[in-house]
Amino acid sequence: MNDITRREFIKWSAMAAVATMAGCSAPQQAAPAPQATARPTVEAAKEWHKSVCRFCGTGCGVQLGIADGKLVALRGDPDHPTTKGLVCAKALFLPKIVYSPDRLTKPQIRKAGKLVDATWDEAMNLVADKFADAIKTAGPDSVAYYGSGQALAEESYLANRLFKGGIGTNNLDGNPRLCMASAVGGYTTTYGKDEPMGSYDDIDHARTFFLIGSNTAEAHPVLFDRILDRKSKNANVQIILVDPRKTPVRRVTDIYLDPIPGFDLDIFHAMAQVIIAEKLHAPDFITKHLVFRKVVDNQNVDVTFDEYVKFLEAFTPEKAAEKCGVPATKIRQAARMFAQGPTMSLWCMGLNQRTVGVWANNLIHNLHLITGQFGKPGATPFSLTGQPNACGGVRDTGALAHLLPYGRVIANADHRAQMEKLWGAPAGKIKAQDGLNTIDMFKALGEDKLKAMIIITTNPGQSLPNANKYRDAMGKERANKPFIVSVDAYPTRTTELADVVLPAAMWSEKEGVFGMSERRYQLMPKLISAPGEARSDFDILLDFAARLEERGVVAKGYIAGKFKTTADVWEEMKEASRNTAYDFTGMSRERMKKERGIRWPVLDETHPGTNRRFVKGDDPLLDKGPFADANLKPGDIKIYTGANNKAIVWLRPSKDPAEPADKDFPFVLSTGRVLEHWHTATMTMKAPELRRAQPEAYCEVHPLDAEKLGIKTGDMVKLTSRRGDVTVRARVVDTPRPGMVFVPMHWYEDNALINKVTIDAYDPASRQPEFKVCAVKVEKGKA
Amino acid sequence: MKRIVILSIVLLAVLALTLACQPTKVPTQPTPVPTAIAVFEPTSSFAAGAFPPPMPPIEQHNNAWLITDCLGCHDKDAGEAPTIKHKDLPEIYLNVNCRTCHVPKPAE
Repeated sequence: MNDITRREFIKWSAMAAVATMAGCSAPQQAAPAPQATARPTVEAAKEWHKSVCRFCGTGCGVQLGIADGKLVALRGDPDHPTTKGLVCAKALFLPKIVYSPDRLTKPQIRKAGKLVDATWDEAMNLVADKFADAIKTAGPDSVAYYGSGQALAEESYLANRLFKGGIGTNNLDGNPRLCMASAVGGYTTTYGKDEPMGSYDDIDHARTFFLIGSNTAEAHPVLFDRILDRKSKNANVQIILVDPRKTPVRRVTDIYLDPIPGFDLDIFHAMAQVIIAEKLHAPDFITKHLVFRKVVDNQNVDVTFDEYVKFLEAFTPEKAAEKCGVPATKIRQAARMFAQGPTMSLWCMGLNQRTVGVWANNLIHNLHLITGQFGKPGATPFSLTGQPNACGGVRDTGALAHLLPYGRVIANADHRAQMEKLWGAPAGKIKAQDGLNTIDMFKALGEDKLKAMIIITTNPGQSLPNANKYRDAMGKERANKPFIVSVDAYPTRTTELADVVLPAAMWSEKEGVFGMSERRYQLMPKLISAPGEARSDFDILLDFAARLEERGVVAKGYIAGKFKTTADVWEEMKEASRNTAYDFTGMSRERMKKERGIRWPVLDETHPGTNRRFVKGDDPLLDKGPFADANLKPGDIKIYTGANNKAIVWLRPSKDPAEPADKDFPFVLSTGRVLEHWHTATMTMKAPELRRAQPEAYCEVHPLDAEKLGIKTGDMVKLTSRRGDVTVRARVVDTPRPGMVFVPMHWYEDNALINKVTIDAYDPASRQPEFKVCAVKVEKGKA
Repeated sequence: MKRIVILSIVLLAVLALTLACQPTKVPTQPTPVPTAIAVFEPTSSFAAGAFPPPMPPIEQHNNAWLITDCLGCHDKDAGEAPTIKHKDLPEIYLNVNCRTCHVPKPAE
């Protein structure tokens, strides 16, 4: 053995084995699974730039490695103040996603049923002709815009300006209606204005985390990591989880409440009942900062604290246990832990995507308010966002059918007048009636009441509930079929229905602002070129506006010539925010290029940004401007957006979901996410590693149900609702409650497109659909 | 002695050929040896490679969600599990969910 060492022997053996395996591939081998492609390395990057991830609402800071004009690497930004260098797998694979070979690179026009390449001029003239013709013949409300929490803030603002102040229609809505509208409704009805008062910094101070309907581990993994970090360093940190599905969050939970899907409101009332009965509430905070209110015959009626206490008597833990299916003892434990604090509540779609979404949000705020878990480090109610720019881009810019920029609403005449003045629109141009919300907009499309719609950076052909109905509305051939324009970076289940498809630049191919969940606005620089002829949504909107001006349906010079870049629009946006609760006049473009995002309100260039709103010494609006109050001491709270500077505790009745399980459809379907994919997966499926990690749709079935149905893991199961069906592979696991099934929402194939099954009933307050609860029957399917 | 060793290797290759080329078997790719492929900048120690190694399809990975699940094997040499190479990262990285970055690689 002197001439051949043990190491060499192993090496040679391995080489022989690998050569053997490689040489023996059977000719009838199935199509190869996607393989990992080359990995960029730090050595390849010639320069690094700070930027921001474009997936969920966490707003992770990233650094992008560029070489010869190409993106060659991505890493977490260790200097980012809130995400501290953490990123998730979706962001890490963005370089591959950007360079996917199926990016759209040329405009396309549908001719004889097929999309064929066209020039930009041909496509934009056709789009402008169709819109102008509709506006002239059927009025401004015959056209609509459907936007996105992924468009840049400047893009959504510009679209809002064009449609509401230029064309004169409020038919402008966006996909945040599907995910965040109930959170908006919750903040607005409780505090007077939208958006969280706390920030991610509170994670580092909270002792109790109250997670409701949030699979934070998969939907917001970097924030979950911060919670894990906090818990691992502090033995007294505890987590309460309310979720009918045992998501990975359950693994670190101290108190777990798994209500029957759609039946959780009574839990929150019962917690409040325990808190007051055990005198764990905060009388001083209640006296200073709260009013109590209920609705009687559609009128708001203020009530006393004692009436609220009386109201809660109907919601003892025992009664809630009976209705919600969770033990009363756990409700009591959760209530005590919540009141002890500091408590940070974090919630997401499980609370929002409900026909009682706003009420559910109100009840979480109630718990914070009656306990005074508010405005102190670690004590805050915090709604998590699903998209990178749902907050800054859509909610704040007012790019929804009932809103105007920065806390203004369509229903308020003063607000309309303010925006008409700033925009240079004639008085009365902005209509006084709300436009069509998302579901009603697509219903109107199906009834041919709309003549033309432009859809930007979103995929309603897959993401709308009751998808069969609305896919028909968009694409089914008929005499008066509305004209549909889809602007996207990739082919989607929406572009396949469109009459014109415009290729879009994405993410780092354009410059603009993303505003994430904690009120932080971050500038994303343009670092690389878009492929082929793709253009940014911003350029497309500018071009569209100019052509509408030429055709006489928008006033000459209303947009054309006024703005050349997103930076130009940013200046007007800052002005629109001046003296509002959102004031960010201290965020110059130059400052944003240097800093890693700034949290509004921020009134001047030297202010560092606001950690906690409504807190003297932190919120600059309490020092200067219309909300200033010199009588406050540092640390004092003033909820200056509220009714008479007070927040409202709402007495909301219990209400069942729109379609609970019944005899014919005995299971409840809930949908959600996996870590490796995002939304309709048009991006994440482009990275081979992400696609391979979660290649196929599946349905989680509880073992007790699976036994009754004769289903085992790997079998195909057919899920049928009153609206449609899918057939996907079963996973028999005890994660869902018995009687509940769960299917992720990402897959787009016909057999797996779960939104064919979901229900389009919506919350009458927020108009957000109830994706989380609908009745289905489950049976063994055929492969 | 050298001749015996070479003969052993040849025999091993023949054996492997025989086993691997069974016509009734679905051909499989060699299970990749998981290696820590992250590249670090000498100054900051932050992973720059951007594509962390995926989790190979072994039983232990099926329910691995928390770092405590992972460090049982990857904190030190344990069988064939590679030791994590990013221990010098800031503390927050050592308290996170490993699946934030490491995606599973299911069996083909």
